[in-house]
Amino acid sequence: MAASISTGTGTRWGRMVGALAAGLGALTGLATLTWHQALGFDTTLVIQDGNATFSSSQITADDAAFGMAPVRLGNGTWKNLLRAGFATASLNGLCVSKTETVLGGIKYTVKLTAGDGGTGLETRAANAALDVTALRGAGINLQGSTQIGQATTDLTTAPGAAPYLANPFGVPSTYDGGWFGPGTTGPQVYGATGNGGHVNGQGYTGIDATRGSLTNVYGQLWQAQVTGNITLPNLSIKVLPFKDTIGFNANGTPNSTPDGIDDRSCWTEARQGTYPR
Amino acid sequence: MRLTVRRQRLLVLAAVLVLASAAVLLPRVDDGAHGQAQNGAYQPFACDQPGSTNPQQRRQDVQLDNGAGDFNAAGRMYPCLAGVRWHLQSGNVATSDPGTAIGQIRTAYGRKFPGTVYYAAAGSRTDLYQVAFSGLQFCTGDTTPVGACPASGTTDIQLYADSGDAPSPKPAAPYRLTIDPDQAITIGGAGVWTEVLATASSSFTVPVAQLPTATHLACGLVGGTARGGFLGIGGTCELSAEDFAGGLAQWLGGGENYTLLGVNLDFYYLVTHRQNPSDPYTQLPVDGSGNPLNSIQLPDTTISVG
Repeated sequence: MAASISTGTGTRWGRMVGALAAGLGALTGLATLTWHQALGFDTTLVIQDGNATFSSSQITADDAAFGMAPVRLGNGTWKNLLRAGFATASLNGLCVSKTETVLGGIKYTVKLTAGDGGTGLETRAANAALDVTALRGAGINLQGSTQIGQATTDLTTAPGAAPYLANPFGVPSTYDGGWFGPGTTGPQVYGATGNGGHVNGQGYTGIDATRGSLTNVYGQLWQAQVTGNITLPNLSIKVLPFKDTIGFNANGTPNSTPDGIDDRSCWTEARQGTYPR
Repeated sequence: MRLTVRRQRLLVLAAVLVLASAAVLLPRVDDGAHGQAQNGAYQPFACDQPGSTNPQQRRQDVQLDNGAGDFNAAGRMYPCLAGVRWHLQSGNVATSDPGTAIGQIRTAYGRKFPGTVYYAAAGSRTDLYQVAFSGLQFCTGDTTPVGACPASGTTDIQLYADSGDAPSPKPAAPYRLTIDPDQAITIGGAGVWTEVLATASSSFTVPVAQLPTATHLACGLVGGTARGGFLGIGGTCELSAEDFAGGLAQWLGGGENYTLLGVNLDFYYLVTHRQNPSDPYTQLPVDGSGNPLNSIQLPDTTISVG
């Protein structure tokens, strides 16, 4: 299990899957692994199929932006996702969970939580980005100068003062047929070309704000990246047998109809009003 | 050649006149009214057009309102526009009932946007309108801005963007980005000025009673559509962005607050900024402690991609 977290090179769910599949017989023994001290590491969570969720009691971010972005999936296709990017983000609690299925159809959920239990913002990350297809917040508050309608290429989320980094979300800005590398072919991000191939992110719209404040937020996560250090106090990583006994009505109230999402996922717990602190 | 004193005086006078005319008629390279220049530090992405000497050829120049109806303010924004239409809808613009208020737009002004609006790579349009306001507040149960708001608040606010509406080039796979609030949202507010580049057909509906003379005639004079009421009094008036920015728009009382019965807004760009900044990129709307002020508040909101 410890091999699933690496310093400097990132955390990849795929590696975690491999390690866990090999040691599934010892799942019970791995059921709870907790680091009671703060850890610091550069991290990239790469999630292959989007079957992951996250939640936080509070995210306050300077130079926040939300932009539509194409993300290449493991099968080579492109998927349009909403990329939330923050130059600097402070969090009160963080939960990330991911459900996997291994040989024999056995499902389990890996769950990472961090937080000091208090009401303040204790976790800080620089140049953070979350790729989501659904995001829910009790309060999504954009502050300062906010723009809607820019191309995602035009958003700025790099930390520090001007001059800012161009196109921090990395949306392809050219139609060159070589997005997969020189001499390769594959599906294009854009449906057509124009402007001499300088497509400039047209059609990918975004929102840019001086500051974003998200309260009691949760979402369906496809990818998460943090460039630089992130300190996660009381980091806890658990491997939980899949359990699904509840679902939700249209108005958000819980019922006893399973919805296919682990009851102990960050998503389900948040929908029931429990957020990491 | 020797000139008489009279001819010398005429020559000097003519030269002065030519110089004065040139000073007035010729464009100045560094016109102070333009405020800050476009700056790669704040717009780092090259919104370019091959073949142009300007590396930001397709970046749009949006001259801002000064917060009092003067659209020739010093401040300018320079977005590289996605070309995707955003849609904001609430209430019913076709209602004839002046009592079904959904919110309020405060201190609103409009104009036909001068010149061409360019998208990031290809396509442009010359038919957009610029609407500026101090606040767009939908009804809530806590801070009801207008007396006739539904007690339970307005929950039918629709805000989304469809990539399919953008001209090519655009994403190969279309998407809809939906922002779905379960409670009323607020755009703008104290100390924050908001402007949108909207289509001519974008409209909002207000009670006729709030128009000058409080008659359907007032609504019709500016091109609006009056509904309901009795004998030309009462009822509602639907005003398009075009109506609101027309020649008689000032007669409507530019800068007034209007109770909203319905909003149907299609826009390509929205920006919130400090009132009348000379450089909106560096002079942000902040409070006395330097903290950025609320510009868009979305309570109990789900954002999804479909």
